[in-house]
Amino acid sequence: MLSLRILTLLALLSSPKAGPALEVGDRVDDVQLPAAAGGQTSLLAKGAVNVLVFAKTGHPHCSETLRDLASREGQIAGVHWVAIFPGDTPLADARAMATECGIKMPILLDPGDALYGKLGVKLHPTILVVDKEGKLAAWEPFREINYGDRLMAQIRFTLGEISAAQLAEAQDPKRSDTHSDPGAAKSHTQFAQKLLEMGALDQALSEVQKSLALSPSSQAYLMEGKVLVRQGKCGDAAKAFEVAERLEPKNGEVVAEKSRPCPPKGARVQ
Amino acid sequence: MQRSIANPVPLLLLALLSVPGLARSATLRTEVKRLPSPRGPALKPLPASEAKHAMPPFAVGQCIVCHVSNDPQKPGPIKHASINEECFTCHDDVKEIMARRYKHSAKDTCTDCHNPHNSKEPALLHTEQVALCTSCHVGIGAQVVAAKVKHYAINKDKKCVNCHNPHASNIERVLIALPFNLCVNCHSKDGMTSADGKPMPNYSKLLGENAVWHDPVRNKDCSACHRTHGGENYRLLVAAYPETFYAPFEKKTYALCFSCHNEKVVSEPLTTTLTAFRDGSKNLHYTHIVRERGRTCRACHEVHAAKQAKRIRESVPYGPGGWLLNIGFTKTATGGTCIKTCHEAKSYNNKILTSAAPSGGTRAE
Repeated sequence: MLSLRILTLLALLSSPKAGPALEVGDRVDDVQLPAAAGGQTSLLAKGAVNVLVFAKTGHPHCSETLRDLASREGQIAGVHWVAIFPGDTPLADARAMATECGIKMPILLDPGDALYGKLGVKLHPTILVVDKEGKLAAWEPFREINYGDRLMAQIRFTLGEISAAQLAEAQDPKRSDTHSDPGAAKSHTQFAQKLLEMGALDQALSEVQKSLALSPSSQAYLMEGKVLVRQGKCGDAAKAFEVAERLEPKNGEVVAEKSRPCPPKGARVQ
Repeated sequence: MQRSIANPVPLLLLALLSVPGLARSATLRTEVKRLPSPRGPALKPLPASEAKHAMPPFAVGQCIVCHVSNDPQKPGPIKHASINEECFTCHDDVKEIMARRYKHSAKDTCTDCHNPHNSKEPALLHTEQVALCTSCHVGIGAQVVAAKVKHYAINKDKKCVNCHNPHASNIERVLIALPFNLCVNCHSKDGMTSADGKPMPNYSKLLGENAVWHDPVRNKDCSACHRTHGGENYRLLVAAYPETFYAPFEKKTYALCFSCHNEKVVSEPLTTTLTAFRDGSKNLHYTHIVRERGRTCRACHEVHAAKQAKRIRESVPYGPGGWLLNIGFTKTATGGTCIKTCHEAKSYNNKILTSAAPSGGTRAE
C-alpha cells in the first residue's frame, strides 16, 4: 500500500503540467532540439528577442502564417526566429513547407511534443515572443486578421522600439471609416476655393454652406468670409471671420483676412 | 473599354466553375481579376435624364475645375498629370485615407470605380456596388452566388461597404474595423434568425453575461471561424463542424475546430500532456468523442462564451423540447467532477498516471 502511494507521488511529480503552463513574465528555458536541417540547435539565441513559431505541416492557418512571416522575419534586427514542429513531422514535409512558404528561420522538431507540453501550447499556430532576458513577453494564438501586424508590434514593443500606446493601437486599431462628414466638408471647402478663384461667387458660397452644414470648421468659415468679402457683404464676412477665429484662434490666415479692409460692394478686389 | 458588369451573374457562375476547390480551405485567397481601367468614352457623363448623382463641378457646369477648357463639348485633358492627383485637389480627405497601411490597390485610379461626372449610383459608382466589386473580385462573387448559407449583410444597407473601406484601411482586407466590432454591431439585437430560420443570440447580451470568451472572440477575430461572404457550412462556418449533438468521430467533420486545436487532444486515447481532461493518462475527450455516437464539442463546451473556465457549459439540451439538464461540472484540485446527468456522477483525476475511472456508466440521453 505504501509503495503504491510512493509510486503515485512519483507519477504526480513527473507528470507534466497541462493547460497554459507558461504565463507572460515566466522564464522560458532553453533546450536543444533536432533541426530539420540536421544536428541539434538551441531553441533560444542569447541576447536576442526570440520568436518561437509553433506550426505544423498540412495545416492551412500555419501555411498562411508562415508565408506572411517570410516577408517579415528579416525586417527587425536583433530578433531570432525559429519554427517548432511536432516531433512526428516527417523531415521532408517540414523542409517542403519551409520552401513553399519561403521562410528562412530554422525549423526544429519537438520529440514527443515535450516542449509543446511543457509550455502548454495547444493551438496551431501559436507564436511566443521571448524577451532578451529569456522571459515570455507575449503569447499570440492565430488570428485571421492583422496577425502579422500584431506580432510585429509586439516584437517592437519587446525591443523597446514602440510605446505601450502604439502597441495597443496595433492590437485594436481605430476604425478606418469610409466616409466622414469632416472629410466631405473639406472637399466642399476645397471646391469653393476653386470657384472663388474662378469668380463663381454664388456657387462658391453654396459649396461653403454645404461644407458648414456637414461639419462647421474654421477653414469653412474662413472661406465663407473670403467669398462674402468678394461679394462686398462686409458685415457678414466679418461675422464669418469672427467665428473662424473663435474656432481656431491661432490660425494666421484668419487673423490676416480679418484685418484686411473689406472693399465696398461692387469694388474690385485684388 | 466599358466594363460589362450590368449583369454579373453569368460572369460569377463562370468564375465559380473556374475556381477549383472553392471554399474547401478556410484560408483560400479568393480570385481577383483586374479589369482594364475605364478610360475616354467610358468616363463620359451619362445623359442628365439617366443620372441621379453628379460631381459638383460637373453639376454647376464648371468643367474648368478639372479640365483645361470650360467648353463642355471639348473640355480637353485634365489639368493634372494623373487622375488621382486631379481628384485629390478637392478630395484631399481621400488622399489622407490612402496613406493608411492597406490600400485597395496601389494600381487603382479613382475612375476605376467612380464616374468623375455623374452616375445612377450613389458615390458616382459606375454600376451597382456589389456588381462593381465582384466584377474584379470574382472569387468573392462566386462565393456569394454559390453559397449554400447566405449572409444577408452583403446586400443590405451599405452592402460591401458595411464592412470594407473601398479606399484604404489600417486593418487587413481593408476592413473598417476588427471583425468583432463589425459583427457585433449588427448581431446585438434580440430576435435575429439565421439563414435556416433558427434563432440567433443577441451577442452583446450573451458576451456581457458570460465572462469566459473563446479566444477568437476575445481577439475580435470572428473571421477565424465564420466565412462572412457566404459558405457551404451551417452558421457560415469556414470549415466543417457537426451540426448535431451526437456525431460519429471523423477528423474531417471537425475541420473547423482542428484548424486551431490539436486533433490529438481528441484522437489520442492516452496522454499525459495534451489535455487536463483525463483520468490518469486516459484521455476523456477521446472517450466522449471518438465513438459511433460521439458527443460533439457543444455537449460540454459553449462556443462563444460561458461562465466557467474552458467554457464548460452549465447545462445541455435534452429531448425535442430542448429541456436543459444541469451538468454540474466542478473543477477540483486533482481534476473535476460531473453530477449525474448524461451519465452517473463521475470524477477524474489528472494528477496520477494510471486511470482510476470505472468504465461504462449509465447514459441519460
